[in-house]
Amino acid sequence: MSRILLVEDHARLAESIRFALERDGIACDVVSTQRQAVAAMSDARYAALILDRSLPDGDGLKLLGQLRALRDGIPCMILTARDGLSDRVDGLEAGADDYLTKPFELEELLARARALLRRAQTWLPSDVVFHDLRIVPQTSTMQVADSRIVMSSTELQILMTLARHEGKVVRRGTLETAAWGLSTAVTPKALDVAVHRLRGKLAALGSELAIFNSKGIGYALAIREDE
Amino acid sequence: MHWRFVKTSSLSLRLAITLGLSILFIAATYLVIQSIVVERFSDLLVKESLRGQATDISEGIRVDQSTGEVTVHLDPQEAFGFDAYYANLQYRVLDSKGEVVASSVEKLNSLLVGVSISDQSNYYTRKILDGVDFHIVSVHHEIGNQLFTVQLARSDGFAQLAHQAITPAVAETVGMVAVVSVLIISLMTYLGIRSLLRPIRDVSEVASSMDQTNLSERLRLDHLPSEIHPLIKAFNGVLDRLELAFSSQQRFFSNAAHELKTPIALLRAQLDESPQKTAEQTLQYIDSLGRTVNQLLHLAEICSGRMRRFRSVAVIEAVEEAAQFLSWRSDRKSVAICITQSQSADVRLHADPGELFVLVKNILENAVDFAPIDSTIFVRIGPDYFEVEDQGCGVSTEDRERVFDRFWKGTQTDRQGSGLGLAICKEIALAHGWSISCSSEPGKGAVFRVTTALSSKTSGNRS
Repeated sequence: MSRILLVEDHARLAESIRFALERDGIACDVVSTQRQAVAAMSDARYAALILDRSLPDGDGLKLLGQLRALRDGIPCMILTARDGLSDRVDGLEAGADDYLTKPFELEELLARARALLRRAQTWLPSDVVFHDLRIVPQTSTMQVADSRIVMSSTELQILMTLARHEGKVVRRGTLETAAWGLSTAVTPKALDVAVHRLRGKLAALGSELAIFNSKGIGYALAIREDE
Repeated sequence: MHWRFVKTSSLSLRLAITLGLSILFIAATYLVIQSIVVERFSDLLVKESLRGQATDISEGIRVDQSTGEVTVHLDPQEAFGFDAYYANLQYRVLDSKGEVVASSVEKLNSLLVGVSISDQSNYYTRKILDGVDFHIVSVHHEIGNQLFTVQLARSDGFAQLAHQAITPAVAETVGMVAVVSVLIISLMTYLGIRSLLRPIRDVSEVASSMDQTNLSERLRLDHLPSEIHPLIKAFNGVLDRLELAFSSQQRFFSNAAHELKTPIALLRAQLDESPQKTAEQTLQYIDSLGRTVNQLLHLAEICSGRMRRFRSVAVIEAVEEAAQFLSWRSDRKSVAICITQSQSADVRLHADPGELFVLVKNILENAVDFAPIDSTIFVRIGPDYFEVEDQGCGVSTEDRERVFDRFWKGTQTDRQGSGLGLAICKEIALAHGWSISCSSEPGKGAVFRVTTALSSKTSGNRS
């Protein structure tokens, strides 16, 4: 099970975040200062870090800066009430992978936390090209000619798997494993919803490819047959 | 000019001191020149003064018509000089034959023996007569047809005596006059400038009494020296702009308060009605409140003239980042954000990355809000523009300018937006020297375009 370290000094907010994460199958330890965070990280290995900026012992970016200086690439999401125009840029420049401003929807936090964990697991493969479609994991985009569309990491994994099978039908289970891994609970509809979005994105790009449903078995990415 | 020797900042004192110093300087210069002249050009002076005296004498020559006798009429003071100092001051009047016809003393010898009459028309020499050193001049003078020659001799010792007697007196007088002038001019300058500055003091008092309660007051130009007018006009210009900015701030505050109060009131009403079932609606109102507060902070930050950190930013990166940031919301509506860069070339802007992100994000967020489910938003990046096209309900012609107004929300009052997103975009575009516009075919979506051509090459440092 993935473990996230949450550095947040506001006890009630920290508690509700921890509760939401654990309900989603993500284990979470909570500390309230940078000093405690450093101690916790030397004790255990964490898959990702959620870091508040205003902590009792200073700006959380300081801790992130120290980690990055030590070449620690742990995925990190900044959580802050500071939403000045430069704060986001400062956060990303300090090495954060994502930046979420308070107040936020817990759902959004969960979605971003999942993306953060996936970033931790997947080593970034090289681009996949299939017919007119190029999939760029580096930026999580799909590209046709001069146009591109951003995908969520779930969508990226599904599309990569489909593209690698070059038109053959891929089983639902294979796609689900690629997208969500084994650890996370997935609702049966989740794959269909993701595929629905992918279809929309392929169509928006004007790709010659489309995703076909092979009833009950799975999906295939193949040349669109003109209606 | 630097006033290192005048340490005061008072204008009147400075002027008085300057004038005083100038007068002292002039007096000193006068004395120096005089002493130089006396030292170096005393002969010239003596010659000139003798010539003047000789002319006086020649003008006093009278010829009796009947007897032909020649007499010299001098004014009593001058005549007295010749009588009293006869050993040192003498004259002769000679006729055309060189005979002495009148003299200041009994002697009738020519003072310039051996000099022909014709040479004596304008003559000067020094000569020892009876053991005394004399300066001698002679001039010609014609009366009727008769030519007379006037010779005048004055001893050197006499001239020196006169100098010794007069020079200290002259110096003293010059000194006294200088000192008195300095005092008088200083006083006059001081008083004059004080009265000149009085209206400025009055105006300063008015200016220092100004605050936000009487911003509509202006400084008056009456009685002020015209040199000060530009300053006063500039100050009044500042007041004009301040008043405008202040009143727009006031309006903004009341609008903002209203925007925050509305969801609070709705929250209250909801909870009053049915405390149990309203969680989802309540969360929506809270989200709307949070969004408004965030947008208010952004707007305040942009309008406060923050320090912008300009650097070269790839537009496509900003767009991808914003699309990624919003994907959580666009995915919920199954809206695809399709980004197209018209050339393979990298379009970069000189911009503040934080503000560019917020600009793109707000336009995209607006598009996601209005996009129908399962639709596509197109983002096109050109060499000097980028635009976002949605397939929403579009913007009517009369609303196209107002969409950028603060707190304008159109007719859809149930929307979550704060009504500030596009106003923030406009401020950011303005600050970068870009322009933002909206075009739309109602019912077929809207296109928001940011044109960066104006300053993509220059620094865009306008604010």
